Amino acid sequence: MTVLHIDANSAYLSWTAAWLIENGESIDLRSVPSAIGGNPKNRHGIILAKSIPAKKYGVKTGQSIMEALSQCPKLLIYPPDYDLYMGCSEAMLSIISEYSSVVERYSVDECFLDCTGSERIYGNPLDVADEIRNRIREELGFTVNVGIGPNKLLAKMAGELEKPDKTHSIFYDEVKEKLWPLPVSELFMVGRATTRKLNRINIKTIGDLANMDKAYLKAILKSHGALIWNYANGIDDSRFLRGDEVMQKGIGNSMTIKYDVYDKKEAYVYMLSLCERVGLRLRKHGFKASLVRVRVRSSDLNGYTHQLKLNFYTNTTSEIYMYACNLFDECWRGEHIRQLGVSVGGFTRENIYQMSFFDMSLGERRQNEKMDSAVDAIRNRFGETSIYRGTFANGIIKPLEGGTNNGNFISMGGHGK
Amino acid sequence: MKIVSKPIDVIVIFKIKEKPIPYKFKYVDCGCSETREIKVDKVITTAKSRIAGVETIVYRCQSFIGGQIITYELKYIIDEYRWVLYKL
Repeated sequence: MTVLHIDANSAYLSWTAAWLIENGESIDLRSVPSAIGGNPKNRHGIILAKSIPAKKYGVKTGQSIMEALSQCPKLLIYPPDYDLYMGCSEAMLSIISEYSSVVERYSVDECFLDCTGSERIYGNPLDVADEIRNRIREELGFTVNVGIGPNKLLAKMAGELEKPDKTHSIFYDEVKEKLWPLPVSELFMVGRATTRKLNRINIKTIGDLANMDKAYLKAILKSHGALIWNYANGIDDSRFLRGDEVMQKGIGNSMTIKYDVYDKKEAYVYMLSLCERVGLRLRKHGFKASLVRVRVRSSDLNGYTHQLKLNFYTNTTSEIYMYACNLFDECWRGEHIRQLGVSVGGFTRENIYQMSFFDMSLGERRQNEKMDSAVDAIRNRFGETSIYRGTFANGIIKPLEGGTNNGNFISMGGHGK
Repeated sequence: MKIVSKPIDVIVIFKIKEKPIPYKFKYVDCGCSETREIKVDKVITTAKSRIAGVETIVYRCQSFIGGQIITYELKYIIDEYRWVLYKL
């Protein structure tokens, strides 16, 4: 098996940079300290992507804009444009799909391509990789890294070796030489918490992990231990997944409130506006959820979540709101609230779900479903604020809160028309 | 040529089975802030482009302006149905 992993370099930033240059901008964002994130005007939000010069100033992904600006006052910050990003992602995918019919879109900026057996048509995989890389750079105006390996894991690890605009390979006979000297934190599926645990037992490099006793790791880290041991040895038997086989796991929205809320009733109104957005997105995806989760963050920036597994499936705003309020009541400790979030999970398709004998609110739910579909249709036709609940009339809280992406791509959380 | 990317008004000829052909366009000259109307004398090349995933057609054109032949590029952004003076 020969797998190619194609990953756009600093995706959001280089896509914005390519678009800006094409529209007459004289500076290439990739060559100056710059970042994509939040709203630079009201200094709200976090850094989503940064340029290599910005990295030298210590700007990190996930950092707040204020923090980033204090580290690098000259930092140029641009807001994200998800429609542009989806356009770039689609264009990248269309080029990649010319080389094989087996393509897995792993994320918005990453794809796996299975080119097993296509050597006679396209030649050596290394040449295919270079051709894809050059074509994307010339035709789309941004750079990608291509990793080649005998499975998805090694292809992905090869793509991370050296950036930007490079092709690298890790085949089984190269694992020892190229993969093992890397720090263990570089390995796929090894995050901060696992790195800490591994460092404690003196595992510093991927090679240390690979040479460790698998049973010992399993005893410490359970099944995850066995998984990362396999990965350290270049073993990965995961198959290619088609786009529609990957089901979204959760939909959620949160908002940071401009002032601290300490009144329960006011918090309920914010929750309702978030539930409106979550419900709308849930129905747009054609899902029903069986898990409701509430997230509260206090003014001292401590956050906690509380969730409830339902024994039925629902997609109605009212029901999500009802459970969200119950959860909020159970978990809120009375402190001043800075941020609220509502998310749902445990999905099933809208039309295929197990009904319950003990579901007492089925009749009411049916009524609510009809109402929600009518409201959605009106909003779809006349705009999101064309119809809303009386609670929001003449108030400062918007009838639908959360989410900055009002673009067209629902897979990116977009809620535009 | 430098990228200017300025939106312009264009009169276009549509022929059967051919790409739209720019005939005449209007643009505001920043130097003297007056609107200039330029007739496209010749379309030298056309090329499809999709930089940053945006599908466009780029026309390399030639016009006789102020006593000399000037080469420039016009761009038609397909998804947005609009024209820009791309390079000058």
